[in-house]
Amino acid sequence: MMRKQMAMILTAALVTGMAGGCSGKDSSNTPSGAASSQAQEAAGETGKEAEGEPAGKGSFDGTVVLGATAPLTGPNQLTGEYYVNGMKQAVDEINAAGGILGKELVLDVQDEGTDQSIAINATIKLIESGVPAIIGSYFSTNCMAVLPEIEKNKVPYFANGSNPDISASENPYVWQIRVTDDFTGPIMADVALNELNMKNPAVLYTTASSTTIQKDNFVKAMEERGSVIPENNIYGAPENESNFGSIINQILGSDVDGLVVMGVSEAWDVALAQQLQSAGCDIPLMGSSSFASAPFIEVAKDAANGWFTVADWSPNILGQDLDVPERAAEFETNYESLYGAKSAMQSAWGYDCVYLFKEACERADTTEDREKINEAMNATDVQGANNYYKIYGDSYHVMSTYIMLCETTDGEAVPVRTVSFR
Amino acid sequence: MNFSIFFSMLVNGLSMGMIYAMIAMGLILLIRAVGVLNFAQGDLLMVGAYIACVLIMDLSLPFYIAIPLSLVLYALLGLVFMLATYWPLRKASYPVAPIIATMGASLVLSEGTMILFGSWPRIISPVLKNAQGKALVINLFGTRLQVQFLLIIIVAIVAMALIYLLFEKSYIGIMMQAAAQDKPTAELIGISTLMTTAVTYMLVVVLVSIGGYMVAPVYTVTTSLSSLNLRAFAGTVIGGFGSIKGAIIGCLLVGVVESFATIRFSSYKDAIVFLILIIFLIFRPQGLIIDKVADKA
Repeated sequence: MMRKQMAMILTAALVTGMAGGCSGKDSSNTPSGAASSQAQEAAGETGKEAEGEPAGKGSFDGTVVLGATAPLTGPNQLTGEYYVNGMKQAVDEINAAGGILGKELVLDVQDEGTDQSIAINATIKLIESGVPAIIGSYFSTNCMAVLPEIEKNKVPYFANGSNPDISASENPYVWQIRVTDDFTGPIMADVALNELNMKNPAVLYTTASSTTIQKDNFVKAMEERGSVIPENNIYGAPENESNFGSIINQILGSDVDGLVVMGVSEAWDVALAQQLQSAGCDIPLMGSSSFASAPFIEVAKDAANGWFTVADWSPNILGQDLDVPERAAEFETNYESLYGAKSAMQSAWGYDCVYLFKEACERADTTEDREKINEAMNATDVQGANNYYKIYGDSYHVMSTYIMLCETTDGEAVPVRTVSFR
Repeated sequence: MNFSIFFSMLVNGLSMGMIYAMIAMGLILLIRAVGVLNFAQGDLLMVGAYIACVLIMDLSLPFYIAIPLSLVLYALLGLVFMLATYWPLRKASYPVAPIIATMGASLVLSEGTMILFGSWPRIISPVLKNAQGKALVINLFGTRLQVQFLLIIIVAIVAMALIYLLFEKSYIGIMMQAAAQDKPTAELIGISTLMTTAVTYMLVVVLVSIGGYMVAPVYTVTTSLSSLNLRAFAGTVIGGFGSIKGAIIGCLLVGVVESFATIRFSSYKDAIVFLILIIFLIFRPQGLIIDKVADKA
């Protein structure tokens, strides 16, 4: 009897656990008390930070509260910290220069935790608090989850996910500032073929939605350029995978001349890079943006060396003979002096979003009217730290213009050149 | 597929299967001893990896000090775990209370680890290294193999054999079995159920934590190590619930299947394991091996 009960409990736990593991993130829309309290706690902390003494305080004519969501707890809290650092840097700079239309800019960051239900709750809380705009998640799944709330409440939303489905939803209030995965796939194909001389590479991708799209576009672009990648050279691994031994054995035992990887999280990337190094991998390696991130390089150490990356951002732009915008160098210099460490791509995204909001407010001549601010976003034409932002006709509200090709050597992702795709 | 790739995938699958088997063996020992299905088993493995990481990487203790100290800490962790999740609830009117407590403990362990060590993966050096301090690699049957995988298999076999012998062949093992089968009578003849339960918990946590230490150099040390629990559960059900031999065979099967599933279905390897589990639940719910001793317990 006892065994039957145990078996029933075990089976139920397995079903629940496997379902959770397969989906990667919870897609529930149901607000949970736990999530709400977590968000409130996070709001309390960031609220205190926002109440710090900005330069010029006292001369402001009121405040404008900009909402943001970031992973302040859970496995992504480190990159979340980078994200918030970038936003805070921009807020301090803006307030030091007189704020927005004479008002002090204050940041209200809500915790989006580890799953979509918390991200939805955090976004709803910000919407209900009346913020004029929200800097959203850099996880595509979280961005996708909040789209209905954004459209229903008509609040401008800066989406930092790279999944092209975000812009394909044609939500008039969503502004996708990152390079989307439908652009990076063909760029990676060009780099693989022309610069790394990969004619027959293996492909390994995280089975998340955005990286699957990136992989599909890469494979299609390779095919269009005359290099068909056979199905048995394409490998997928779930987001929670840590053991790549069997896949690596197959890759290194085949006749491939390179490996192209689409990763979604730095933890996944670290495990892969370590295991490739241990296996004595000597073929050229190219990765997606996360392989150039500061946290990845810091943890993977010398296993990060040798990777080429098509990256959103590299902090190693200072002192290099590169044609980088002055705004980017200025951002990195100030970030390093403020935080005593190099920035990450999340910092640059957060920083730019705050400035995009400021400039939209100034064009709209309001810090409150969501509709007018959203309308003003259509006229964006600005050089940010991370990218040049503009509204293009080839996709809906995808605003970025170029991406960076980097090579990691001696523990630094060094930019080789920028690749403009528009 | 040539023999070299076949062999390397087999070793990879067997080594991971051995890790699942260590989790599963502990799971069954606890069920037999106290009737508790431990949902925190994977988290204990993860904590074991973190403890080893702190001693070896952060404190840079020499191997001959770090290993015995780790074992002592693992045993203490087992004792604390028992006192927190089982002992206060053993006479609860709701018999599933200790099982629910392990679910709570799982959350406490994973979140506590996250708070203490942060969310970022940590690296732990392999047990056997080359001159450059990297993982030692050997050529076996034309296959380039990381020695850590072979070491996992050897250590797991030795640890599981020792625990099996302790439970089945030693006097203390017979005492523990007696206490597990009939606590009041065991108490009447002078066997302390507190002692036998505590020793069982300590041995289970030591076993599973050794698994955590062995797998950490391959996987990196992260809180996601606790997810290995799921595959061990699957192996336990496939092998025959309640049977140690069955659990080991089931877990090895899971490890090998998920390794070879990467040949054509790398994206779906978890789904394939799960599919096999469903097939077993439909056509052979009792699993591969029926253990009559388990029924008595």
